[in-house]
Amino acid sequence: MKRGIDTSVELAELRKIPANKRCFDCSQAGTTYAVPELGIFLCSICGGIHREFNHRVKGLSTCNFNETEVNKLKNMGNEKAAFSWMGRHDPRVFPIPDLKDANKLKDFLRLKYLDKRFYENREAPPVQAQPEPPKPVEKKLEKAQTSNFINLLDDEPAPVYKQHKASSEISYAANQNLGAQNSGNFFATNFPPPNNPGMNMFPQPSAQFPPVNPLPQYSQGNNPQPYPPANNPQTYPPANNPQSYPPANNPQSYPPANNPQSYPPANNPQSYPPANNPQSYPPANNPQSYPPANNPQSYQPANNSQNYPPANNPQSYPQASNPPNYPPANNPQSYPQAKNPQNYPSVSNPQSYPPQNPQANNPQNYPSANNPQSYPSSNPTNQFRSVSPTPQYPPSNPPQFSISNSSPNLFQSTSNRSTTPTRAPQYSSSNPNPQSNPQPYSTKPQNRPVSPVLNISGGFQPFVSAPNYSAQASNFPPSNQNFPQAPSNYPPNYNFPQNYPSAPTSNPPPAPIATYNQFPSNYNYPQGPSLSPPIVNPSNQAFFSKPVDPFEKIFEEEREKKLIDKQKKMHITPAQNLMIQQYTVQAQMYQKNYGVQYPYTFQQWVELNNPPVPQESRPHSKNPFDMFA
Amino acid sequence: MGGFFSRIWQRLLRRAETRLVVLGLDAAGKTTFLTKLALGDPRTVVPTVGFNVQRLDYKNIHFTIWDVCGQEKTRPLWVLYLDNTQAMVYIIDSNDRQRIDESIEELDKIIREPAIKGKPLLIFCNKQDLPNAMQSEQISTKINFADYKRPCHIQPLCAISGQGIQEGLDWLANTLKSSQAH
Repeated sequence: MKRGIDTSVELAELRKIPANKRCFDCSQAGTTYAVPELGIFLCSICGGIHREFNHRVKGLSTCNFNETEVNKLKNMGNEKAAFSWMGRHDPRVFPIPDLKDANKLKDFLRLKYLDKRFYENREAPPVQAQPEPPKPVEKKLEKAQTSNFINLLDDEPAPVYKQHKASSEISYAANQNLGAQNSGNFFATNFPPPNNPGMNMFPQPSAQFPPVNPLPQYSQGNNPQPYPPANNPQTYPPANNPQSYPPANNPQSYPPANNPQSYPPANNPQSYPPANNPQSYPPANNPQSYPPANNPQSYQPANNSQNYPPANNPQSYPQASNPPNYPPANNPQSYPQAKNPQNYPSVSNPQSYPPQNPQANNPQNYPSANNPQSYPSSNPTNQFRSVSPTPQYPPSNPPQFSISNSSPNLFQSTSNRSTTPTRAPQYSSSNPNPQSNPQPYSTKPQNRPVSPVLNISGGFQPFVSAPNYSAQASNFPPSNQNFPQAPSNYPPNYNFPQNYPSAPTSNPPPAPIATYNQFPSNYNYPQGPSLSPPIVNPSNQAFFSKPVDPFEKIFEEEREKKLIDKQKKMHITPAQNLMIQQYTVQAQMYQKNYGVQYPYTFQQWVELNNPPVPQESRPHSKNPFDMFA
Repeated sequence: MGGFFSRIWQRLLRRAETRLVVLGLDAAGKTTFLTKLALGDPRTVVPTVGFNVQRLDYKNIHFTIWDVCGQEKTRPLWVLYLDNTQAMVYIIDSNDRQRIDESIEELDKIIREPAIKGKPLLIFCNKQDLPNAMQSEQISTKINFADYKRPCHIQPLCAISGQGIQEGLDWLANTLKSSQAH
């Protein structure tokens, strides 16, 4: 065995990094393999998939790592690799599949690595990843803080900061301030003029983060009303939300979206992310890997204005045609511009308010291991979004999206509930969720006798409507003598077998359903219609209002005969009967106490009392030869 | 009495018990080869830790195939699997050109073991379906078969499609039969 420089210590340190403790692909805890070319740490299953892609997968404990490989792992790591490999990944379009579904995961990884669908070359490609020399971060930042000028003619593209939606308005305000201050510059012509009072309503964010002064500086515009008001400093700027805040050191560095030159190409590795903002991404532990804004003169205002309005009342804006919706009633002080809604930037005023490419500017969800949603990406290309099954929407209107996303389910559920036939509810064993099978009687609190009856399919169906309810409707509510009926139908000379105690008063041994039919029983189940007691509440008007079809009545009788025949064939053990009895008593008590029908069927109740053994979320091994080992 | 007859019957219809060891570097395709051989369908396999065993009847020979983990630090353990083996199968990842020399070095090391002295050696050049794969003839030039002093065979293989498995096993079965006859 070759032994070079012992890198085990460094490797052990690398494995202690929390991002490296989780699999890069499936975020499963525990990494046993690594791909040094990509600089990522993997679990065993994903390692197997990577081997199919002809990646060199090395076991962390079973392989010796070179110095170069350790360096690659050190320079990349899971955290940084997600940055490029998942740069364009939108979890709504391509949700990361579950680890159990190996084929889906394989397809996803094939998209990820072979097709490079989510890859964005924000840094050097990880295959050729070289250790980047640490850059003089602090000097650059000092320059960045001092310079307020913007050079659009600079060749080097300014860094693009994709922000959370709440921070975009701040950047917008910062642009307006810049435009107001440099009114002689040609920049002012490109951007909303400073004398537009609607533009100056937001303050310039303070350079330090979090802002020390709760009242930020106001712009030099003609806006007479200061914003925000002093008594409402917390609503704006959102100091409590550090990740949504723009990077503190470069608050003015957002380039305009309508200026294609300022947009950094995808190949620019230094365009992203901000350097010294440890609370947002990038992480604090490797600051040198995130180049700062090394060209402070190229700072350009951003026009992430499509993220406007703020998140707390997104629906009220933009609605220039609907001025009474603005300002919102709950936050009137923070929007003093409501009196002149014409100044307010709207869709009809695209030059002053240029959301040109909203989706490209703000893919809002960036996947990372720790904080997937707050992570922005800056890729302007939008290739695979058109194929997305989710409805297209501008991310500036997240509530619209959420509404459109959630409304079909809501409508479906309500429509189901309204259109379900209320005649005879069936509680089948295949539908363990009682809510998905809405009970028609559950709307009114009713007193309904409960009796377990066997279904044709073999399972227990305690609530079965009998056709001859009307004959016994006068007995309703049933007294304790005729209810529950199943135990009372024991033959008087019946002796329990020795396996079962004759009268266990409390807590009979839990008998799982699967073993019910295995019990031998010489007990003749009682015959007769008494097994189907009156179930249907006569107060149910919807039931009585329907004219009774005579054929249907005949059919139901036949159905019931079949049911009883089925019950005869079934072997019901005394333990089973006891459970039925317990269940009926419990359901009755529930009905008495709460006035609502007991929400669980017998089978569900048994499952509740005997919860299944929790299985491992992850199979022990995918090894097909485990059975032989 | 029944045992006596059954013993005679077994002796009449005796099938040769053969123990194979499949060796090779990691990610060479040993487990995939075994999966394809035994279960018939190639599937995504995880890197082996330890070994896999599979039984297989082929041409009236009862194979017991041991697929051993090929990771770097577990290669010294290959020796432990060589006892009482009738043949060795060595799988080379012919697509991984950087590690072909390493693979052949490992083969040279393990072939010197006295436990498998004179036992036939079958070399599979796996991953022949990949475009960058080295031809088996090229690989065979790197191997010094004369030093091995045993029946050797080099066979191109695509373990996923199963192409080449049958030829290799045919050769192995014929060699084993001829060696047992003597």
